[in-house]
This record gives sequence, structure tokens and C-alpha cells, in this order.
Amino acid sequence: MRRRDFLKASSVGAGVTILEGCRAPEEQFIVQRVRQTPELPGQSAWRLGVCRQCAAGCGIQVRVVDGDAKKIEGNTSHPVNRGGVCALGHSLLQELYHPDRILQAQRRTGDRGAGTFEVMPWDDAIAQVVTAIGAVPSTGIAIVASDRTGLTGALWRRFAAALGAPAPSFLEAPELEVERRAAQLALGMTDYPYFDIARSDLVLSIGAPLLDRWRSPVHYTRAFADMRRARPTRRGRLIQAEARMSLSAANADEWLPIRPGTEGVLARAIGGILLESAGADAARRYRILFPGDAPTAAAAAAACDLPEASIVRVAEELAGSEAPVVIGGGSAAAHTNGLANVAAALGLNILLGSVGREGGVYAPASLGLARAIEPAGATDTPIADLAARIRGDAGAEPVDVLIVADADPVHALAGGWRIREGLARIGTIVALGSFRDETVLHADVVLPLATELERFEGYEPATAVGSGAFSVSEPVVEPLGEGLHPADILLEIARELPEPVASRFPWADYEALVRARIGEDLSNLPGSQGATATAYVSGAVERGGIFGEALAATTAANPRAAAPEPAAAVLEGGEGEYRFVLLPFESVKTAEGRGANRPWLQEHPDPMSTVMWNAWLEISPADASELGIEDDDLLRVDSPAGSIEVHAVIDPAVRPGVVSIPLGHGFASNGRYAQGRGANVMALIGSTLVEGTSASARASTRVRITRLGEGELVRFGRRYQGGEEEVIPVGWAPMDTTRPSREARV
Amino acid sequence: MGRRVAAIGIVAVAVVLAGCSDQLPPPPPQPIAFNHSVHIQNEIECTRCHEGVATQAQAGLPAMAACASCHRRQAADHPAVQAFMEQYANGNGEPMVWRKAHVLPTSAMVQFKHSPHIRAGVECSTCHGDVAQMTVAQQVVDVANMGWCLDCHREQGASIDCLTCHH
Repeated sequence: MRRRDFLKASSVGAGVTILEGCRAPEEQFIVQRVRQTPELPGQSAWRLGVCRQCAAGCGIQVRVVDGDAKKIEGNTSHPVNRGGVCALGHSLLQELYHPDRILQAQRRTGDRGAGTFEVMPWDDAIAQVVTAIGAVPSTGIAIVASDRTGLTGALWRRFAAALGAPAPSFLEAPELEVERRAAQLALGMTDYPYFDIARSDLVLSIGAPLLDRWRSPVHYTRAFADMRRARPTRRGRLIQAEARMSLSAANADEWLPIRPGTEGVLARAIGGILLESAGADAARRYRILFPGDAPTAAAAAAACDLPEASIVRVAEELAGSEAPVVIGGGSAAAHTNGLANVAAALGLNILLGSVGREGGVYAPASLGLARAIEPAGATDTPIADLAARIRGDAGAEPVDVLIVADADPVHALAGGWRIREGLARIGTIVALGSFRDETVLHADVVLPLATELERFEGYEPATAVGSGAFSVSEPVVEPLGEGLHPADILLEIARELPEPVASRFPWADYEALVRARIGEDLSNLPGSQGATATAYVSGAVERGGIFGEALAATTAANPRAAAPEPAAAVLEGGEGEYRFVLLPFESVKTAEGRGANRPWLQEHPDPMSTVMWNAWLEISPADASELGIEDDDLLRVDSPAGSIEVHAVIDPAVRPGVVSIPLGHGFASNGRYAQGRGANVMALIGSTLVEGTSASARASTRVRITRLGEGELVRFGRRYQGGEEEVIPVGWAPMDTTRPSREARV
Repeated sequence: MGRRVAAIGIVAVAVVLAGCSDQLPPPPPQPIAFNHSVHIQNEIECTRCHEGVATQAQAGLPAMAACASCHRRQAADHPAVQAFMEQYANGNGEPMVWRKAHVLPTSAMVQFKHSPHIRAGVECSTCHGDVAQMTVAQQVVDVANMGWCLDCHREQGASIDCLTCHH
């Protein structure tokens, strides 16, 4: 090559290289993937989210790898759980990736309840719902949802009010309503209070299983640990007065195995002893609440079947403690006298001076974001009234359109309310849900939901945790299907309805609503000084939410009226024919049923009985031997309302004459892991209500037990004969209740 | 003619030599005219999009879905936003390919990790400049100049061992 050509060539070559900036081509590119994923394959990112598996609303962080959620841990900054997560929260991944999850809108094809559905376009589903609503008088519409507090509940109330329909009903554990009413009566609070047990030195819990699935389990478990261990030289004590040995009773320093239904008598007797040493003002206020004579310790001992000396000692311990607090609720609220029981328990805080004091009782704190969208004068329709409408009781408005949002009333409500039979009369049933549970099975239109990891979430915990919190999170993973936040679905439906409904819902979606509400209330929200709404929400997303700074200011309780004196609990079923008192309870595994279709939770041994993959009945050794029942035997349990079959667990911590069965099992339909497992204890519960409330009295049923034969329960720590050569170690066994042999048990 | 070619050649070589040394390259052309200053004016923190920076080696880009979550509604009539949303919605999952503004040549065998620098409290702007004034991202510091890195490491007492940064 000649020199000039070389220079020509090199100058052209150099020119190209200049334009590329001296870089080799492959280094310059950076790929922005479509899905939410960190840049490199295999690398993980932790994203903050909110757990919505129960009403506690813990803050979580989720490990995401290549766009898939892999692990859930707690958000250490979140005041509800401070880094902890319960089993139900961990199992959220199994809801997200569940093979039976409904991902697209569906319509029923066969008979109602047959379970035959076909996919339909989302917009057609919305249109069908809108048409159905428009075609009936507004009094014929009924709504049942699960999110009573917060923005979603307020939106349902607003929706019903805009339509002129009856107020919505909210499906929750009935004991929660009783506890709320009792708190209003005894402490003058608008909602159930917060118990600052972390700073208490003596906690007496009457019926409330604070470490089980009650209210805010992760929060109270951590607070319990702090009470015990966090303060050098000061170790708090927990005394649990509960008819059943729950996880809380097992962890308590002292368990008072009280006769079920007599919790109020115990509380009143303790009140009588405390009155003697209480200050004049406290005594005066307590007497407004309970003007009558308190039962003596001896009378209470006889009624409650507890040693008199224990009752006196507990009262003296309370009086002598620096920071005592008394909690009431749970199973104490599940009897017909539940309101009186819980009011009597909470009223003791007046005598102890623990209202608004460190380690005591605080008024529930709320950031109040829902207030502006609640319709004026909103009260909810009691679920008992909704049941009456569905049943077609005389005088009750029939239901033409039933909208069920993220709830399973057919499974969760008492069998004695006969919801299932009444469904046939309803014109259109619209279900917002992700699984074909017992209610969705009867729907005409199904609109799937996005899980909390797939949607923008803004949620205020339903149970106060002291300082108020509103969790905010952006989606953690891409939605797997068409499902949306239930509020988003509500807004889509509302916008298609004719005026005056549509204009009452000006928000494009739930995220827009949350941002708008935060923006409007900005000056009242903690840490908002000088921040714009956009920056404030950004900060909330990065932290996990808006967190209050202090416990709510709480003034001393001033009861206005007398509470009912605890009368004897009334039970359905005569004692002669139905010998045992039935105590249903929420186990930490399945809660009210939400966890039943998740293999992790089915596999999770129940902490007390170690049962896996099934429901069970806890019975005392004395009763078992009298009836010839051995461990794992199959029993038929009859009540005036219904009948179920369930296996026995003989448990020395069970009071003779009492049996306990966990809730949340026995689904006729709810996906492959839940179907056909265990039995639904709610089938046994009658229609009795807690007096003074509209809540179902879940512990007001007597039952009769008949042994059907030998059976087998999978329990942690055993081994099972699989085939001739095969021994299956603990953790798994086939659901075969006819297997006779027990030789391989270790 | 020959002289002209030679002159061009000499100028070309000179420019090449200049381009390969202290002069910072111009910002590379990008598929979408992304404007950093507008986003920062809207109070979006650096880590909101470049979220890997505190916990990972790479600062990373947000997924297209993250951009879309706001731009579904915000500034939807801006031509750049429309071009982006077009690719996101109708691109069949094709990723958007951007050009790096800060390139460390592989020949340098450097394993630069963002997270220890963030943990040590180094501000984004120290190395990336005042991004709030930038529309497209561009280099303000020659990150390929090892001496510049070493100066700060020495000052701050961070390791200057070869293997800390090089493979």
C-alpha cells in the first residue's frame, strides 16, 4: 500500500473510532428489561411491600430475582411488625404463585354451584356487573367485603350510599365486634384499644390469645418478647385466663384454665378486690360501669372452677404492680355473655389506672385518611342482618344482587345461619376473588384480584398498634393475571354506573386515590413539614409507609352508663343430649380459612397439637377414655345446627366437658390443597348472637361425640408405613383415614 | 492532493490521540431523549430508579414497567414518553437498549461496585456530576482515569490494593 493510501485509510478508520469515543462496541450498551427486575440475571433486589393476609397489615420486604418473588421477610422499620413475619405472611408467595389461582375474569356456564366457569373478557365482566346493578332496585343490592377499616371499607360504604343501597357488611371474626362494643362501653373508646404490653410488668389477658391469630399477632408477639426480656432487671409477667390452652396460654407465666363463659365473673371478682384499694376517683368511675355488688372470690372460684387463692393472688399482684394492664377479648367474647365479659375485663384498667399510662391501655390511633371519603352517618349492616336477607327471613329485604369482595361468607359464617341455601334465590352473585372458594363457587361473575405484591397498596392496619401507621407500597412483581386491587375493581364498576354514582368516584384508580388523600391531608401527616405531596409519597414508599410518631393521647376513661353484669352463658343444645361445650379457635396455620389452600401452611404443624394436613378435635384424656376414644380416632360431632367428622387429639390440657376444633378447614371447594381436608367447624355453630351485639356467638354451641372408628392423623415427630419397604418420616403422609396399622409409629 | 491527504491524516491522528486521552467523550446517542433534570425537578431521588446502587454492584436501570407505572398517566403527550410507551406496550417484550454514559473498558479488568461507595457516603454527584442540570446523562469525570479514583481512595483511607478494584 502506498503511504498516502495508508494515511487515507487510517484517517477514515480513526474518524470512526473517534465517533465511538475510543470504546469497544460491546461495552457501551445497557439493556433495560421490560419486566421489573434488577439489571443482571440472577441478581436479587429486596422490595418493600405490605402483607394483606390478615388485618394486621405488617410491612414486608420481598426478595425478587429475575422478576419472581422468592422470599418474604419483615420490614424492620415498620411499626406493626418491626421485621417479623408470621407463617401466613411467608405463605403469601404460595398465594401469588398458586396453580389454582383465578387469573382472568370468568362467568358461570353450568348450574350455580356446579363450579363450571369460562373465561370472559374483563370489560364484558364489568359491563355485566353494571347491567345487573342497574336492573334491580337499589334496595335489592347487598355488599359483603373484608376490609372494614381504611380506604377500601370507606369506598364500599360510599359506593352503597351513592347507589342508595343498604350499607355494606364486613366479614370479620365476630369477637372483634364484641371487643369493640365493650371498649366503647368500658373505656369510651371509638374502637378497640392498643395495649402497650412491651412496657408493662404484669399483663392479665382474659380470653384474648394475643400470641395466636388475634388482632396483630406479630406485633404483640414482639411486644411480649420485649416485655419479658428487653428491660434489664425488669421482667414482665403474663397471666392468661382462657378456657383452652392456646399458644398464648402455653407461653404465659401462669395459665388460669377458666370454665368457658365465666370470664366476666372472674373479672368482676378481681374488680371487687381491687375496689378496696383503688383511689376514690377510679372507684367512682368503675362503679358507674358496674354499680352492682361484685361476686366474692369464693363465688367466682365456684363459678369459674379456679382456686379461690389464685383469684385473690392475681388481684393482689395487679394491685401491687407498677404497670399492670388487663386485656379482654378472644374466646371470652365468643359466648352469649361476651359483651359483659370483655367489658368487665377492660373495666379493670380503670381501677388500675392503666388508661393512657406507660405499659397500659391507649386509645386507637388513626391517621384518618379514610374520613374524607366516608359517607356521612355511615354505619355498616350487621352481617347477621345480611344473613337474614339471604335466607329470606320475613321482613328482610330480598337480595337481587350480591357483591362479595375478597371474603368467603359461605364457609366462614355459622352453619345455623343457612347462607348456602339462600344463595339460590339471589339473582346475580358477583365475586371479587382469586380462588374458587365456597362463595366464589356460587358466583355468576368472578373478577380476580391482584395480590398485594402485584398492586399499589395503601393500607392502614385494622388494629391499632399504638402510634398509627399507613403502609404504602408500589408493586413488587408484575401482575400474573388481569386481577386488580378490589378498590380498583370497585372504581371501574362505579365509573360505568349512571349518575349520580360515577361522579362520586373521580379517581382514576386506587393509587390515584391514595395519592390524592395523602396530598389533601398532608399538613396533618407526620414528618410532612415543607415536603410536597410527591416527595412525601416517595419517601413513604421508600420507607414502607407513613408512621406516626407517638402513642395516641389518651384521657382517663369516663364510663357514661352501666355495662351488663355477666350473666351465665347460654348454650345451644341441652346438656343431656349434647354433653360437650365446643370452643372453635383460629389456629396460626389457617386463620379463618385463608391459609387452607397453601401447602406450606397445611404442612406447618399446629404448635399445640402438631397436627399437619388436617383439622382435629382436642379432647381431655378423661372424656376420651370414657367414650373409648384413642388418639387419631375418627369421630362424628353433632350439634343442633349440623354434623361433621373429625379426628381426635387427646390433650391433657383440655378441660373435661370441653372440646376444641380449629377454624379454617373443611372446604368443599378452594383449590387442590384445601379441598376435602378436615371439616368446617362452623357447620356446627348455630345462630345465637352475643347479647347486646349483632355478632355471632361462636362458643355458644354444645355438641355430642360418637366414635366412628380408628383413624390416622399426621403429626410432627411420627413416621408412617408407606408401602412394604417404605417408611415415610415425619412431615408427610397420604390422606388415608382407613389405614388400620399403627406399628410403624415411633 | 498528496499534501491535503497528509494534512487530513495528521489532523485525524491528532484528533484520535486527543480523543483517546483527557478529553471526555460527548454524551452517547440514546434511543429516547431521557431528560434527567425534569425528573429531578419532580423530586424523584436517584435511588428511585437506580435502585441497585446501595445494595448491588450495578446501579442499574429501572425496568420499563417502573417507568410505565408513572408515565401511563404523567406527561403522556410528550413525544419522548409516547415513543417509550409505544415500545413498552407494543414491543413484544423487547428490551430498550441504552448506551452507557460511563464506560470502564473491559481491558482495564476493573470490577467497580457501587454499593461500597454509597455505604461510605460518597454522593452520586461526586462522580456523576450535577445530574439535576443534565438532560441526557453525560460524563463529567473521567471515570476511566485510575489516578482520579486513587486520589480519593488515598484521601479517604480506602484500600488502594490492586485486587480491590481489578480482577
